[in-house]
Amino acid sequence: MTIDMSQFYEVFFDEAEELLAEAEKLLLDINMENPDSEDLNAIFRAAHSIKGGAATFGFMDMTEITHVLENLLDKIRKNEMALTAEHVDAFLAAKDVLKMELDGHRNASLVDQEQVSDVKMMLKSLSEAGGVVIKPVPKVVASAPVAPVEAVVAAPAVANAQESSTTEPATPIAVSDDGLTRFNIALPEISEKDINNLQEELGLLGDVVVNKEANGRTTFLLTTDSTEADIVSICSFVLNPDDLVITIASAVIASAPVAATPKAEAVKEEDPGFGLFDMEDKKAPAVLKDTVVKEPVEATNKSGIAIHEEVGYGLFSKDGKEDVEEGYGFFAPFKPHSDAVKTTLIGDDTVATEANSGKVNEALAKVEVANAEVVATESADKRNLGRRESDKAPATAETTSIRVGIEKVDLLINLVGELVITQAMIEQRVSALDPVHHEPLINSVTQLTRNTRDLQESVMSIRMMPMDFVFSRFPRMVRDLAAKLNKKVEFVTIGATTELDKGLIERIVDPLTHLVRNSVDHGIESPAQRKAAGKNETGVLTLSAAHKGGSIVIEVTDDGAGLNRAKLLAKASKSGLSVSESMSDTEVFNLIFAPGFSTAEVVTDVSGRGVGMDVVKRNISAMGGVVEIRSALGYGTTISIALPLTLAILDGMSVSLGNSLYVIPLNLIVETLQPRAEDIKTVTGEGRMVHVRGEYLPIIALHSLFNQHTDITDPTLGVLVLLESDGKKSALFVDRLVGQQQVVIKSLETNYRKIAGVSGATIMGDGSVALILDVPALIQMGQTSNYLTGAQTFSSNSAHTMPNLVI
Amino acid sequence: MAKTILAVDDSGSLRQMVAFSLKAAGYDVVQAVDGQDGLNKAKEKTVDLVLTDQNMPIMDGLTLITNLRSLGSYQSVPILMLTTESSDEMKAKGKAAGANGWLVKPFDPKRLIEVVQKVIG
Amino acid sequence: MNTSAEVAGNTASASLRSAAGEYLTFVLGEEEYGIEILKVQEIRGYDAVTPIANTPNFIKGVVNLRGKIVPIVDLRIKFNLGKVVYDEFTVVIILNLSGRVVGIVVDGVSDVMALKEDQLRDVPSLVTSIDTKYIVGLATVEQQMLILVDIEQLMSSPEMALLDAAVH
Repeated sequence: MTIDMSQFYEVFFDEAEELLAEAEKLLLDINMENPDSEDLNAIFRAAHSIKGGAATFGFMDMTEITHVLENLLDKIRKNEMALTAEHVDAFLAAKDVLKMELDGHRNASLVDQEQVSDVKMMLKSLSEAGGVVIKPVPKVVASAPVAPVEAVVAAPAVANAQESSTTEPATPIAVSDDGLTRFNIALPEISEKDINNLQEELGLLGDVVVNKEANGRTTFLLTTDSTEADIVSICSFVLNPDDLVITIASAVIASAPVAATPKAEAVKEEDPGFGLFDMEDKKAPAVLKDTVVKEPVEATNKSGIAIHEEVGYGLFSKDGKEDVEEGYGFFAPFKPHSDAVKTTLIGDDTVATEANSGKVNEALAKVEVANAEVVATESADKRNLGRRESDKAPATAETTSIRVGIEKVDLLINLVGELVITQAMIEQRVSALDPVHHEPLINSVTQLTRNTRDLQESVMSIRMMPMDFVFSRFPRMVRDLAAKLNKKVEFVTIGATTELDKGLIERIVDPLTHLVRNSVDHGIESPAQRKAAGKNETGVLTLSAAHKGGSIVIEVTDDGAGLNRAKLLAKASKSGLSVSESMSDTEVFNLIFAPGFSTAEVVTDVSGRGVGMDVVKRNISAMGGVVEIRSALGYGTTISIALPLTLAILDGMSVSLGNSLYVIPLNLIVETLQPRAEDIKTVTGEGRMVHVRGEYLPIIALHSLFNQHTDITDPTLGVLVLLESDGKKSALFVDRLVGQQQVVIKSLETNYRKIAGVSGATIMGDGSVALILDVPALIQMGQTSNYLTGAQTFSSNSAHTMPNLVI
Repeated sequence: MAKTILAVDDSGSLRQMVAFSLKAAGYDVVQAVDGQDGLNKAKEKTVDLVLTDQNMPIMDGLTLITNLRSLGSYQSVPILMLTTESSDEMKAKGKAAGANGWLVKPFDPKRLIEVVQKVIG
Repeated sequence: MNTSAEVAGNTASASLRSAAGEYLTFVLGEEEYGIEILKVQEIRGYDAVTPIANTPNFIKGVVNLRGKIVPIVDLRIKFNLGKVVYDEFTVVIILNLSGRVVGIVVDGVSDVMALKEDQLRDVPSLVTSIDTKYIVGLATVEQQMLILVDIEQLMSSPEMALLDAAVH
């Protein structure tokens, strides 16, 4: 049977990513003076788990890093080494490298090998620095209790390569446990530097001994648990692997069996893996079944592999292990825990109740061991028979969550979207029926409506993820940035459990990163400046998320210098933007979103290059979001992003124009009104304006913007929908308001293309298509042209070219 | 009846790999995410073999083994440790806790099935 | 049939050889066209088209095709052929072009026919309403000339304005 391991990769990637994120979070919060041992354990476990998975699934680069990382963490965890800031930095760097390697495997993205080896080196040197001092001879101690072996082992006593590579083997014939292999690696002629590099790299795999050959070439003797392939892949960074001659010098013989059973070597030839004597010899006579006294024995089975039968309390005087080359083994089976000896089980199940130390002869041991197996098998069967009747519950519900492909979820959401539309159609048809004669039908449809809505809500919630997925990446970023800029920043998050659509979560990351970076860079002042201004030297940067109506509002707030209106205006006019003193604060603040507008006096390498705020703004608008800036000079700035809860559904107002329906996102509508004639003013060259509560707003006539016929061309006969986006307000002139409803957003671009002034389409209750208006674009279009008057219509020429102009 | 194996590991990917492989080999597999979960599941169900990771949150593998062995019904159920540490020290500890054997990570599905078959057929 | 066409026909080009297969034929004005049947998803009537602002006149708008928003192109307007009326006989061919679904309005659908290699001819230098670069070849079926169109290439051409303008 072959099992395709790649099917588990995705799970491993997700898991490793989560573990890395968790480890990072713990590292950032760690108390350097007095680290919480639980936290240290958790970080260690994360590294350990990733190592195990990476090794299993064959991502050796990740195994390497986690291996050194784990060793270092282990020392700290066991208080053999004190945690320092340097450690934390190294761990964070290791986390970055692991993430990079992970992404490399997952997305085939680039992995910076230099960074990898830097981090590896850093971890290794940290590990050695402490390890040697605190734990000079780590391994010998571990083997010490093995009484009969000790004498033999003592001579070639060698520290385990993994624990301390600084200890040179006493003799070249390394003896260690764990089934290590010694490779003889004959190098081609390469420079001394490369040799040193290689030695360093290979040192990560195990113990390296360098031998200079008479012909000037170099041979490494590497004792490792890694495979030849690993060695080749490491060497291939430095030299052509074809020039490499790797031979297995010897399989390193584990210490215990060598000492305990002289026959072990012979055995290895006929069965070079494992000795499961007790398991295979099931048919051995069970005469001694009732033997009560089971004593620790040292025995050799038929095939000669040493096993130790050990019962009760003989543990400390006896070594209870076997050597198994292939990485697994069995202890003498079915030794109950010492505490358990008192508890008895039905009949045969009871194993030894008394335990003495001593030796019995080989034959007895053989039978004994076999016996134990028989007993176990029988008892297991008995228990099974006894219980199966009453305990028929299948082994289900092991996991509390399942991972499914996002496309499956999206399909489900789409289908439910269709269902909602169908349901709306039914509702519409039924509403035309006489309620007296069709009461049962109408009641059923009402029930259907309710069920459909619940279903839709539940399905949408599948895509929801907590904002923490986004927030969790910022503490690290803020920490690094603040350090780089010599600022003191306290980072606070609020509402990390607030849920948002997965699609939006992914798309909000970049804009938010930019905003947070900006706040640290430009918002929060230097400690000196803050002190001079009478503020606490440490600035506070708050990232919050909260539900507000049908939206989620994400805010980045700093208590920094705030936006300087005068400076912004000066800068804007210098950049050639048309500005005036009469502009509202909101309008002035929004200038920072203008393309190419940067207020930083010094272009820092933190946020002074790359994408600008205009891109941030554009990205958020593309998500159906709205950005707002609130700022007070000297007190700080808040950038507030309001996003729809989901990408798929929109709260909209449908309006009519001629024979068509259009949908306007509700969150962008300030109010709707029917203007009186005296509120409409025609300004030469600027089209018509409407006077609303002291403000003059431009009127955008949708029929002329969209070149569509309608009988209503006088605003006083139609409706003005007051829209606000980017701090700009306009009044959209349409025929009539039709109603408020939730609509399922469909992309026009799937089969068609982007259309100016239209952000998407939706399907109405009657099955017809209605276009969703792109409000920011409409306002923009309204300002840049003479659509305002509503008096002109388009020539067919401009109709052809316009989309291209705007796109 | 297929034999039931309790697989305890905090790493989902490894647990799935283990479960998938063993199921493919015809065993029933009960999964548990840590020692405590493993202990609870061991009490709920009849299990023919326990495979447990060592380093897990909440309750580690050694504690789980110790606890299982103190249950009457688990005195003779074979328990194998899945461990990245194959040091003598770890083995001694595992043995002391009552494990019947160990399997060093990383292992591939073939190896796993081979070992399991040797233990419970 | 002129000589050059026959010569061309005798040495059918590679593109022609690969053009053999099943075609859906339809009428546009006086001409009969054929498009690969594999590109055709379905045929339906002309119904409930939502117009889209500021698009060329031959783009009639979008329809709801079982939850998908699909643009409708009137080839009669685009190529100035046939009489442009919309009634219960107006036919829309729904095409599936590498996953993009587009509807085209034609004068009428005539047939599905299998064309063998020897029925195909290279395009002579005669003038058809559709640019010859979108024409794969000609076929003569029962004295009637059939113009075989690479519909996918035609519909993705910039002049159809169906795709977002490419960045130059």
